[in-house]
Amino acid sequence: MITEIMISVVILMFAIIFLRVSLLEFYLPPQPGFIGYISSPHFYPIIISIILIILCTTIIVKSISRIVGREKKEGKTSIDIFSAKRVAVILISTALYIYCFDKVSFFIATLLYLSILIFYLNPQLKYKILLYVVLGSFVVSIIFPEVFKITLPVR
Amino acid sequence: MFPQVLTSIASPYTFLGIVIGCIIGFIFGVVPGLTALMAMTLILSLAFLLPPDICFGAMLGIYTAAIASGGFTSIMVNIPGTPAAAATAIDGHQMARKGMAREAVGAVIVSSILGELFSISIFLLTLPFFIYIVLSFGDWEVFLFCCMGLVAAGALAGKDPLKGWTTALMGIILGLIGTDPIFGFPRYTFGVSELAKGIDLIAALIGLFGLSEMLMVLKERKPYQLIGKVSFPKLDFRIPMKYPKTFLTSVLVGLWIGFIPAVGEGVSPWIAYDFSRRLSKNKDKFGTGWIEGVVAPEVANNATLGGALIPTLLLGVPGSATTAIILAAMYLYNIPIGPLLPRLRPGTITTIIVLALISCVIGLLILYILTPMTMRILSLPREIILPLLIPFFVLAVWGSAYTIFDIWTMFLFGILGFALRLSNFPLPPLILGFVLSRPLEMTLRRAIVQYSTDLPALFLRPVGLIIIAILLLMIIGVRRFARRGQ
Repeated sequence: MITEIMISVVILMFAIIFLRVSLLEFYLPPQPGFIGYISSPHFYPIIISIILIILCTTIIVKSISRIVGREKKEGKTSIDIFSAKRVAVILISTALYIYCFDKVSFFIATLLYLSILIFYLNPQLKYKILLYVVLGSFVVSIIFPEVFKITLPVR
Repeated sequence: MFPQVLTSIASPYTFLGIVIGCIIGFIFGVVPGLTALMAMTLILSLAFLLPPDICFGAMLGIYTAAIASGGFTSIMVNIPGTPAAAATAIDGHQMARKGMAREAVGAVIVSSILGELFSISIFLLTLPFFIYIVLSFGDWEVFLFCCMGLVAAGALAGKDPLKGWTTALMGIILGLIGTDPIFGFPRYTFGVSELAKGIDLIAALIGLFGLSEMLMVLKERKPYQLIGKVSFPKLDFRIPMKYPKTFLTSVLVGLWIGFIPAVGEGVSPWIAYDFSRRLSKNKDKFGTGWIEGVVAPEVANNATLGGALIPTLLLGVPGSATTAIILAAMYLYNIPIGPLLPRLRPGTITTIIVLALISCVIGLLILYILTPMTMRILSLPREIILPLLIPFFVLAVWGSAYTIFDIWTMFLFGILGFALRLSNFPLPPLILGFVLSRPLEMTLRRAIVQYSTDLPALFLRPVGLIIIAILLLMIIGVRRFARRGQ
């Protein structure tokens, strides 16, 4: 329930920013005999932003009223320390892998990324991992770009 | 005309072209991020070297196999292989988790192939009727029709349509980032030059469904593993008889959406899924691993081809991005485009239709033969298959526009998707909104400009009035459905 409210607040802020930008960049004022703003690039986003703000506010109000009414929690909304740690490791390693994409050889980066991540996620599969990692890295970084003619920034 | 068509299709090289097209399409469909469009573009670059029949055969083979095989990845790893297969994941993946992967994959193959066969056949039989209908549809009606897709997004959220509509609208706003399609005015780029071209659909799709799926599954101590025998898929050709309403509705939705210019197979599965759920006796089973939930989107996405070929071949207006590639090939071969095509080159339309029908038959065989190997790879332990997919994702996003910015976009969309899923916000409406964003805006603004002197007249157009009535009924239906669910 709390995460629901948090996400709704984020979307609400996102909609408000879009609405603000649309209103500030409002460059075609309405004139007599000229449709102006209705056909301008900002009319449609303004309408969408306003509806989104209304929807988000409704969700937030409903969620708060549910908390106040102490209704049962629906679905999985919490994340424990183990899961949070795993998510953080996956995200950080993926971010580093993307960062290295145009700096290091794709084959080496893929080999390292897959070795670390698969071993971290399933340390029991020691020998199998090696096979999958080498095979996977080879297919992805050597065969794949060759067959589909995808030029890599660093080979 | 007929001897010419026979000479074209009887050539063994044409058959070889279709077979190669089906194999390429299968690979591009299964790997998330690679799409039928990319594969067809690849063939287009070879058009100078190939005779037209082989080129069209290969393109149609790619389309058939890629759109069908995209559903395999949706079922096995809950990551759509192509944007057209996103709706298949809802029920298909649940079936795989219940140990019914062979049935689900079999349903994908049969539904896709029969859907395309029916759609092409209906296209042949109802050509004059469609020409009449297309003339009665203006921008306003197309806009309202796209709105139906948005209302359907609420139903995809199940118990809480508000969340579905919220994510759909968020998708629309994200889809608006970039250059305004009418005035060329840059919007919401916040000074970032890379945003001028807009957010890449492939990057958004892979991030939302691929990376977020990886985070959702691998955060668990013991991630789920697929159960059930990995073997040839169970093909059940009685699907149209077992679920006639779902099948026919999805064929018609596919035809219709394909018929509307520039909407295409990314949208039709969602609308078909929603319509089928409403019409089904087992509507409560949808979303829990019910076979009709696989049949509907898979029939619709392949059936879109029949509809998309109508404006492409008769008016020279592509019905979808994939048929735009066929149109580009026609330009390259100096084939006259537009209403004069049937008169100037009488065999061309028939040849393309016959090639599409042949590609369905060959596609069925190729899909059946290649499925066990693919299922075996996709059934690997989740701790191995999901990380292995990340380099594929990176490469696919890189290959679509060659910018690091898009790879980071994918990463951010992955985090967004994960956060939304943790809070029980549905992801499919977001991608639906994203895809519909541009067609909605273009048609609305064009309609406003056309009726600028008399805006109220827009609301009095008879076809538009009928669609507005359907829209209102849909909103009431979604609200009722949600209340009953609660």
